[in-house]
Amino acid sequence: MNKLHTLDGVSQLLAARTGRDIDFCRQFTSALFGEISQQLGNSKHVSLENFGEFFIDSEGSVTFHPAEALSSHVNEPFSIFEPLELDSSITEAMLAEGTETPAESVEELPSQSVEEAPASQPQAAAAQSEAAAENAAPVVVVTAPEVVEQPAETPVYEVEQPKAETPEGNSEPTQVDTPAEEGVESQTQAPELDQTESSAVSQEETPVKTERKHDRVTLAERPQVVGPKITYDTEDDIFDDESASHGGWLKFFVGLILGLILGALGAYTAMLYL
Amino acid sequence: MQFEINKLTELGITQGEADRLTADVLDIISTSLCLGDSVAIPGFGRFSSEKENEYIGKDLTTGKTYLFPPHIGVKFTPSGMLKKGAAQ
Repeated sequence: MNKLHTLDGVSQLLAARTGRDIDFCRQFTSALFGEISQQLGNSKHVSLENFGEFFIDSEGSVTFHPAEALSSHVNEPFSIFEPLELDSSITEAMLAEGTETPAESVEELPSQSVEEAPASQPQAAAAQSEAAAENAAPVVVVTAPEVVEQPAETPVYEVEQPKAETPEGNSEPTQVDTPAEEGVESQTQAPELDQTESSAVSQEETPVKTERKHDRVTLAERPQVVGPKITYDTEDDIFDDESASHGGWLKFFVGLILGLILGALGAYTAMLYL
Repeated sequence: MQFEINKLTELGITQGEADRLTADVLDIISTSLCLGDSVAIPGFGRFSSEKENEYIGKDLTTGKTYLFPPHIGVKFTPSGMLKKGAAQ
């Protein structure tokens, strides 16, 4: 398809078909068309059987009219089609309008049932189609913000966690942090699920889960904050030692005070009975 | 062939062989055109096939309007040498 056969190509095909030498075929082909052009210049008309006719018109231009055999042979892929006679009611103006003719035929049908409506009905139909398109478009747009709103919940979720962390970190950081955080997760997850269940979209749950993973990642970052907890542990140990020492002193003073009180009471009672 | 083949017999072939070879050359060209290929002969011109889309036409004799189907036609573009020879 769309190949260009030159003199060499035609000579090769002719040599393959006739079994003659390629050089001879090249000479013959060039001589053939040289003879045609020479006789065309002499008689201004050359006719080749089952191929076509060459003419030189009054203006001096060369034209070629293919023979019926060549035309039908080349047009074989479209030979099944035949010219179709159109309706006599079709005027040249309608043909010039082209695609507008079916619109006119459509407009004629409602004009029989509705008075003077055809001009407005296409507009109304177009408006309805546009409105339907607009109604369809927001549905797609609404779904997109729902997906966008989910990540908006995560910052709130992330903000709540530090609140739960800070008070607990004051009391006992190492033992209370992880259960408290799990409790915070369970508390925060439940309302989120309730909010998402109101929309009843299962797809929304999966991003929430991923967000939880993301939060867990943020929780995993807390060991950086927990790192000081190690110091707290050591400080706790120190505080424990201090508290133990303070407790020892307190016990000592309490015991001393109690002993003094008991001794005073014993002495008082002894003085009463004696 | 309807034109006199003078120079072809100078190649040492008979008139019958020249006619058969001429028919073979034209058959090769027509076969190439059927396949959608083009044939360019130096100093003569170029044969090619081109597709024309469907169109609406009017028969001037009968006045009827027809929808003509698409078809593939043969196009010949003469070379400059042939144009110059034809102009002289």
